[in-house]
Amino acid sequence: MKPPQFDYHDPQTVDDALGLLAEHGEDSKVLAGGQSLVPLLNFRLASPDHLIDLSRIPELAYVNRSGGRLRIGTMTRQSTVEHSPLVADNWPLITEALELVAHSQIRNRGTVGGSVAHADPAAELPLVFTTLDATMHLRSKGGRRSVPVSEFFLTHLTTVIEADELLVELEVPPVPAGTGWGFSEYSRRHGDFALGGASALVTIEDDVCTRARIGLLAAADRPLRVEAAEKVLEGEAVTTESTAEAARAAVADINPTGDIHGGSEYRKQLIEGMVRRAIDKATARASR
Amino acid sequence: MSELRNVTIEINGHEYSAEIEPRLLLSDFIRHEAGLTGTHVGCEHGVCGACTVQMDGAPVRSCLMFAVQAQGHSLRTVEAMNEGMDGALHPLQQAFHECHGLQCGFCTPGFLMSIEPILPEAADWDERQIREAIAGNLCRCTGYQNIVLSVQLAAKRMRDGEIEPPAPDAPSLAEA
Amino acid sequence: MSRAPADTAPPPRAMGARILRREDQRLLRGGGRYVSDVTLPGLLHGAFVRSTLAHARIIELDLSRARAVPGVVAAFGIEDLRGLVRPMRAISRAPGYRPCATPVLADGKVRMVGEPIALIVAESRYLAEDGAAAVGVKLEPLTPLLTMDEALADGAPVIHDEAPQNLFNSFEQTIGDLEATFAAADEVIDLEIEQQRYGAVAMEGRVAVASYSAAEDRLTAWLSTQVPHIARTGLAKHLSMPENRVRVIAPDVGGGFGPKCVLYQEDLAVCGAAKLVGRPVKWASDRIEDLQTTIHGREQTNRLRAAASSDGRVLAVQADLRASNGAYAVWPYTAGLDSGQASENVTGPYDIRCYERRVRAVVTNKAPMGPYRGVGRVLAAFSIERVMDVLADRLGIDPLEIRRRNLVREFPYTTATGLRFESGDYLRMVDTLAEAMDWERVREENAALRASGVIRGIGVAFAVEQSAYGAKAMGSRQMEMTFGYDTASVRFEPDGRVRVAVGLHNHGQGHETTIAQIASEELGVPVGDIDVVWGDTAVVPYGLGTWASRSTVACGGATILAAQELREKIVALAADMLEARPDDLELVDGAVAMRGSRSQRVPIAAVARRALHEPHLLPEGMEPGLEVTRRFMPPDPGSFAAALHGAHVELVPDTGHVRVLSYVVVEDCGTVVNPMIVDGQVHGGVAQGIGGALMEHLVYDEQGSLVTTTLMDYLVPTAAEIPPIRVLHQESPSPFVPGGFKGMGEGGAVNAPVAIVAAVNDALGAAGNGANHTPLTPEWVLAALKNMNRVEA
Repeated sequence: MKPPQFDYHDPQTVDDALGLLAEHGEDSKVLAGGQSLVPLLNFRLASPDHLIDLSRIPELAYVNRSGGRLRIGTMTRQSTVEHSPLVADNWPLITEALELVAHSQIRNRGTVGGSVAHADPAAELPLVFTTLDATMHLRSKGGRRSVPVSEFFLTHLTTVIEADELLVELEVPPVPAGTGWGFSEYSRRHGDFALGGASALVTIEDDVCTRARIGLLAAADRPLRVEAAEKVLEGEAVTTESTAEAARAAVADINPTGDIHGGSEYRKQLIEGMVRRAIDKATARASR
Repeated sequence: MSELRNVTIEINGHEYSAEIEPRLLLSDFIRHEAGLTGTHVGCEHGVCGACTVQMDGAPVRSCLMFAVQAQGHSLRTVEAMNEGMDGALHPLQQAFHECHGLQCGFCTPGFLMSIEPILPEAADWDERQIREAIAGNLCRCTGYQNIVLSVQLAAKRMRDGEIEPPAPDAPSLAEA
Repeated sequence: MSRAPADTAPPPRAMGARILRREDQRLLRGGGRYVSDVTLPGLLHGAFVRSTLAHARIIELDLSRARAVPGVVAAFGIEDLRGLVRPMRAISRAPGYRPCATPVLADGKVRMVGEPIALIVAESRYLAEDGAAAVGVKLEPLTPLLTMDEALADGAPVIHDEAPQNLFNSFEQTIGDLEATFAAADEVIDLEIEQQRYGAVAMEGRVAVASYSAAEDRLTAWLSTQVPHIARTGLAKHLSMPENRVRVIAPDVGGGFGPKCVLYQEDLAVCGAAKLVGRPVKWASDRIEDLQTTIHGREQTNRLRAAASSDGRVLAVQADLRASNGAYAVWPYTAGLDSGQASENVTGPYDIRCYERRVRAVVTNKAPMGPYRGVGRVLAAFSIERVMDVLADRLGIDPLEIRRRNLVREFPYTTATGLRFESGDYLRMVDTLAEAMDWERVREENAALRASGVIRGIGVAFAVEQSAYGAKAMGSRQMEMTFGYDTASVRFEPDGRVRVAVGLHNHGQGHETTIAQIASEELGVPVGDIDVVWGDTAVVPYGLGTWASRSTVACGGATILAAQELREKIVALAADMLEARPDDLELVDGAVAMRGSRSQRVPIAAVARRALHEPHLLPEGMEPGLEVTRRFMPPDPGSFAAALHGAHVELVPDTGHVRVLSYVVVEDCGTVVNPMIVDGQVHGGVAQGIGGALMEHLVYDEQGSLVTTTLMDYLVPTAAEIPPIRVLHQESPSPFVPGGFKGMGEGGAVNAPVAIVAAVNDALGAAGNGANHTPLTPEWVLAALKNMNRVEA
């Protein structure tokens, strides 16, 4: 179990990285934190001719707020964001989800952009940014573009990122004041990829839910936001009954892929329960 | 063979230079180029934790990094754990010894590297928190019980100074 | 740390003391030496090309492109090794057993995914894998037989020509009047027990390094093995070398648990390659190889009938046991272990005189099964403990009470299958567990909690552990070699320090400490002055290694015999030095002293010096030296420890997760040498058993490919899934073993899956018609919870 041969590039600037991508595009893989890609290389399930390592580009690692919006550089380590007071105070859903990402040793190396670009529908970060209506900023040698998260994930392990493009920044809008958050998932072992999960944001004014965001983990070929469930909550007080109804609505149309750890029907039931848990947490945390 | 690179990597305060393939895993560099075989390899896909080392103070899987990536960083392995302690064991190693926190010893260096940085916080953790915090390392011999005890003992000792090792059938752990 | 290690000041008695382990110092400092750490000048690295199909004919093997890959030194297929390495054939001459050959590399046909087809040797493992990727293999698929039903079906293709009907082994035996007992029974219980395939998954995979000197015709092999001498015999035999020219070194080994007792094709291929290329060769399995090809365990079924009386006595049991033994029998143990050992133990710790067994070891296109911690006995315990719980449920009797009514009460007791439980107090173990778990109160609380939606259950499992099999018990299997003894060589060095060389292998069990404790007890020498060596056939006398919970009994017993004999010589020599009578002397605190005298004494170091460096002063006729080698044959059929486990679980209603709340073990392994180490063995076994109960599963797809080839899919439990485990001791020494020891290394893994299943069934209110299988996945539990709610509604 050793990686195949590749040409290794460790550019020092984004421009250099984009130049390499322009040159090698289809025959290359971008190495961010490596916590998903290196296993694939070790298994020889991936064998790119060129490996473009972003870890020597300091300009890609930052967490800051400007114009009220959170900006995370693609190469920011997950543990950095996990321990960021800025994030914990203003976007606590990210913090809560990060604590569920694998184990601390993995988060010390894994990057935010790497996880999002890898686009595993069972990974927490793609779902979190989906729930938070993030914007993905991409660059290529030829230019730059911004893609709303709702258009970013195409299918399992596939995004709109072109072969010559790089995800450089994730931008997250502010969450309405007083919004409660919840991220719940279940895995057979602590730290494993979840069999199913859910994230929720619930804003409550005068006991009425004015805004809800519900997302599902490992429910489809991409992170899934379920507006049908959000509509159940919005405009009413959140009750046990409406939470249960929202959870039912959330899973009404999903058909998760089953595997040896749990069949499709099981996962559907599981996700329904996780939606209830996430809404319960978010509701309890919403200031009203 | 792909183009070889000259690298110099700092491990335990010493610099190790070699001409290597870029695909050489850091775990293999540590073990076979630097000859520091205390770091073990158990799965090479980042799950078992046996290869955990500290890079710039933070535990990382050395099987999920290429050696070339470690240049310019400072690595620490189990061999340096009790450096400056005059031959005695580090308090965490000593706690593993006293609590029987190891059997075959293969996973042990990875556990030590993972646990050492969390010891200051772990003194205030309950048993459940410790179990979750060490869940990134697999052990097949101990059933983890005595590893949990080792963490509790080392953390409390480092915070409070000397205390006696817990009894083998420690009620704090036996009563859930 | 200023704190002195606790073992520098040993307590007055070494035996039974919580002495900290000697081996820890190197292992904690990163100074352990495992086979993969071995480096040699000119070392080459191997990678195997393995079958991607479960059953196929090999049409073509093209190694030419691999040989051209830069860095590749050689590439071998069966034709290259055929003349050098003989196929392994694990033999039993027992009626009904059919030996089958295991070629060093696939020979014309592959029978399992992962079977080695070619070996590539290169300057690094990386380059060897490049070479392996360039090998051309053409396979013509044959029908894979993956389940026992498929393999045993009429007209099924035959996997080995030597094993018609795809049976490695089959036999039947009836003890007592079964027909009459069932006819007269008040209750008859029918169960189909099914255990999944799971395995040891030691954190260190298998590793082999071979170095051959053509000038001397000598082979040195470093193997990650539990049985260095058996491996040496195997290498010599299959490489056709004189055994005295083969040396096996098994240094630190990163976990064994049974599968490292076996000689594998890779071990032989690596040695063959080293001979052919004239340079040393290393092969370290990666995790995929390890999961695919290191022997698996447990996949067994038992169709079971039991007859019982209305007062809760089980009167007769009928068992139809099948094991899916995979594609090959393991050398030298054969494919008879799982089903055979299960069948010997089905009556468990209970007084059941009437028993019938039908045993079949089935050839399937999967990895071989063989020794894994508690081989066969898990199914046995699962079977009889389910009978107890079902019967208790039917008759409305408490699960502990039903066991009390059936447990063996008088010792020694010989079971229907001839197992002799030499000593114990099983009833007291039940009382101890009931008290430790607060059995009555917990059951009442659990019942009360149901109203608030908290679903909890409590369950137990009792099992007897046959340890240290005797020679006749082993001999009855009629294998190529009979195990059933082990060796210790105890000697004093001239400075009075002691060296004990033992035939066991130490890979986590703490033998460097416990054997020193045993020797210390006999010799009056501090534990710190006793060095225990093992694991190198050039250094220690022929021994049989560490497996089947045998080492403390067999090597501990041999150590006592050798030390006692040595002690006599020490006393005789000291008597001469002190001009005293031997009968008046005793060994205390590192000296030989006149009883009741402080002044008349001679340090043991002075006696040792006399024996080794002052031979001219020895008494007339006394041979120089202080060294004795003895072998001990454990009593037949073995030494029987016992354990009762209790589990308390909660089922999470929206996930189906089984949360283990608490876990208690009452253990009786005779004389405890070191309670810390006994507890550690129990903890580890329980963790593996909980894994087997809930999450560990080696899953094959419909084509016969192993799906669980990574530790992401093969779920070894983490600390977060394992509960605190409380271990309570009861000591009933074995009257037949010097020191009174009984082995106990495996038991934790035997009872735990059974106790967990019992607790889950109790939580579901379904002891009578609950789970008879493992693993209890969250999917299964969630469905069972829904079913329970439907029934309750």
